[in-house]
Amino acid sequence: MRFFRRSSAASRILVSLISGGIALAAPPTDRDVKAAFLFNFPSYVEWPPQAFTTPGQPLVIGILGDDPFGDALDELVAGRSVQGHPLTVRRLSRLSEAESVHVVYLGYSDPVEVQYAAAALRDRPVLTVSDGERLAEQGAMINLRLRGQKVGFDINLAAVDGAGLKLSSQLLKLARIVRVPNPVEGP
Amino acid sequence: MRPLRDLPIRHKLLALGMLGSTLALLGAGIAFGVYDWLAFREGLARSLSVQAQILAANCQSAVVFGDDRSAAATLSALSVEPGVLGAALYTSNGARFATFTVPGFHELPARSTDLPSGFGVRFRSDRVVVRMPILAEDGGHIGTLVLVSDLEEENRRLRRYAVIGLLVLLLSVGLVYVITTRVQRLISAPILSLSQAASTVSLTRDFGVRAPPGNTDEVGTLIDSFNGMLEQIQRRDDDLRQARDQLEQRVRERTEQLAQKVDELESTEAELRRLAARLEASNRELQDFASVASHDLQEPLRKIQAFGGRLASRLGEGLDLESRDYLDRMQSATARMQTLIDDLLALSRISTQPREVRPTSLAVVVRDVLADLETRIESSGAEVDVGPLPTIAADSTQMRQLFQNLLSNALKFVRPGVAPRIRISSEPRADVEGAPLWCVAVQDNGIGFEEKYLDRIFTVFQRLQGRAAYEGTGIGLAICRRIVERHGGSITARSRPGEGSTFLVMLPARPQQGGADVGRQPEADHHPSGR
Amino acid sequence: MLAVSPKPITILLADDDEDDRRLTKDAFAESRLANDLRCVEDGQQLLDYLRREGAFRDAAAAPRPGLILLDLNMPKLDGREALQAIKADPTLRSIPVVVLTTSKSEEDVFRSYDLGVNSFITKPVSFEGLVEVVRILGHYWFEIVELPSNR
Repeated sequence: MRFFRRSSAASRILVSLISGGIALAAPPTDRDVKAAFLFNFPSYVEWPPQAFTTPGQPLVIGILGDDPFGDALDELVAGRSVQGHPLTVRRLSRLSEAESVHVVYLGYSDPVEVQYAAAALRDRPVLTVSDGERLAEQGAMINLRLRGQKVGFDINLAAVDGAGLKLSSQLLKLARIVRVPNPVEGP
Repeated sequence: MRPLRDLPIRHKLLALGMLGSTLALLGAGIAFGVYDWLAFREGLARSLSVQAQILAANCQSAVVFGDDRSAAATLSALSVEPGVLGAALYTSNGARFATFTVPGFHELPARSTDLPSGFGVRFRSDRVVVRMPILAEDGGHIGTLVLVSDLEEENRRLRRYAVIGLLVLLLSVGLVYVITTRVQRLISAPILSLSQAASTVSLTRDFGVRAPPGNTDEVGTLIDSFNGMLEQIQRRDDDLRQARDQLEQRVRERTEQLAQKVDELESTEAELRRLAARLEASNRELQDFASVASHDLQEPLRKIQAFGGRLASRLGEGLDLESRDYLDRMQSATARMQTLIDDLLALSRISTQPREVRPTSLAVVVRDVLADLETRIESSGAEVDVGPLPTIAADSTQMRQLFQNLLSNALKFVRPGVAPRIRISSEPRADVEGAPLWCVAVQDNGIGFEEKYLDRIFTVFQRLQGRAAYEGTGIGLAICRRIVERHGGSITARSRPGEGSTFLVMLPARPQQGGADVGRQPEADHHPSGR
Repeated sequence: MLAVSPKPITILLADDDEDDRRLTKDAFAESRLANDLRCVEDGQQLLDYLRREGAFRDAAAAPRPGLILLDLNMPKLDGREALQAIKADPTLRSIPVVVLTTSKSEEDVFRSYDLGVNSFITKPVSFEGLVEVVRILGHYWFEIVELPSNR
């Protein structure tokens, strides 16, 4: 597991934020960092063709559960595009709504809920991003890990493959790959 | 530069060839070297750029996600790359993010803001610095990769190039030397042989020397011309020699001729001298004879005179008229004979006596003669008018005789009852050849004569008047003519009976030999036309 | 006229021509010179006379002359040679010699004087002239001039 020092990570994310056009006066908070990661992940993801019916179709980042971002994500995303698809953020109220987004942030700290959500979205081309301890093992494709000064993420490749998504090696090499022996069967 | 100028042609040509080739090779070598170096650099830059680009791409996510360790790990792949001194990733704010260096290399900039922004390859003295911007997926600038590589490769390459180049140069120069040495002969050999031929000709003056023919280039033409010139010179030389020989021949012949002529002249001269001597001798003999003869002839006449006189004085009164008359006639005949002999002697002397030609003032001569004739002039009441008379080169004694005779005649042949008037004048003339001549005129108012007898009066003993009328032997004018002719002049007269006569004497101002003249001439009288 | 010398001086005439001798004698007579005129016919005789040799051994027949009249052109020994001999002889040298000759030759004149002759006279062509000359001679030589006394 590789962890970045938090301060340096923060400063780097500050850089990212600057390149993203947003300058922060204060040192970045957790929320900012998470937002930054969530914002950057889509760049390294390849969705299958059926994910976008039209070329200019927006790439939706959905948020389920707790929303830790506030305005941060919205600010980051504003006016940006990835692979030609404008980024938008949608707050979701039901899991079923997640089926039509491209990236979903699972704001659950309970591993059971993460597992349930991951299982439900298992075959959909939706990048699930969790935020907590060992949630990748629960089926989330990318799990953000903030521990002290360090920032890192785990990637559940099996889940990614199962959803028909492809992740860039560039991303992969930065992450800890998590192997789950038996895929969890959902209802 | 002088020593260069004086090098033999061979060396000049060689130097030329070598210099040219060397410069060409050097130039080419340098050109190619530079090109290669530039190309190498370009290649190096490109490859480094590519590397940087790949690295940048590979580090991009690390930069995005702030994974410095991953980035460093990626950079460390450069360790296998020879020549790389170091690399560093900088975030967009310039902070250094990750580095890789070879041991001992510490010169990566701390911030990317120390460097110019954007992509660039900068060659420094001993390294090359590549700046590669790292871009996000959407093209935004999120960081910079700086790659520093040394130029060892380049230096090695250059060194190798230099060595090889030098070798090639030396070899080429050597080759050029060898070739030029051979090839320059094409040019220098004919020139040398020409030069040699020329100096041979100049030393030995042998115009038969020829330079061996060369090629058909300009030197060949020169050689041909040179040979042609020598040919001409030789021919001219031969011609000259021939001409000279001919000339010598002719000169010899002419000299022989001249020598002959000179001999002839000399013998003629000797002959002449002999003749002259004989003539002189003969003249002397003649003169001696004449004096002796006249002397001997005079002697009995004297006796007759003397005893006749004695007789006359002794008998004197006792003689009858007729006897007395006979005696007188005898005496006068004797006297005449004496005069005749004297005159003849005088006449002969004119031709035989040596002439002493001196500048003679005729005015002085006439004055003296008139002084001699003073008595007669007075007694006859004559008036003599003497005009200016010239000084000529003549024998003064003979001039005196001349004028004595002329004036004596003028005083003798007077018209009865008419006082004689004599006029002596002179006039310059020139003879046919333009030599100066004087015409002296003795004019009288005497009895005159008929000009048809002109020749006779100048002849010896020819008289126009009877003895009874005028005494004289008739030899005076003959003497005058002989004197005048001896001086190269002439005498003539104009007259009318009863109206007087004018005797015209032409005398050259300078004497020319006339007749048998064996005269000596005083030094003062020498003149170029003297004959 | 000066004092007459006690004895008339002998004049010796040397001339080969008989006529001339005769004429000269007559001339002397005409000019009334009282001198004793002796004659010789040629140079040899002249010398004989002067030296009292030959035909003139008798001194009485050959009185020493006070003056010699000399003709130059003579046979045997001619006047010139005789003159030379006379002037070379110390005993005869002192006798005055007057050349009396027909010759007018300058050379004769010069040579004679050169030899020591005292006078040179050319014989006049006429008798009258001769008389005149003789008279003047007499006047000059016997009245004007001192003659050396005979020894």
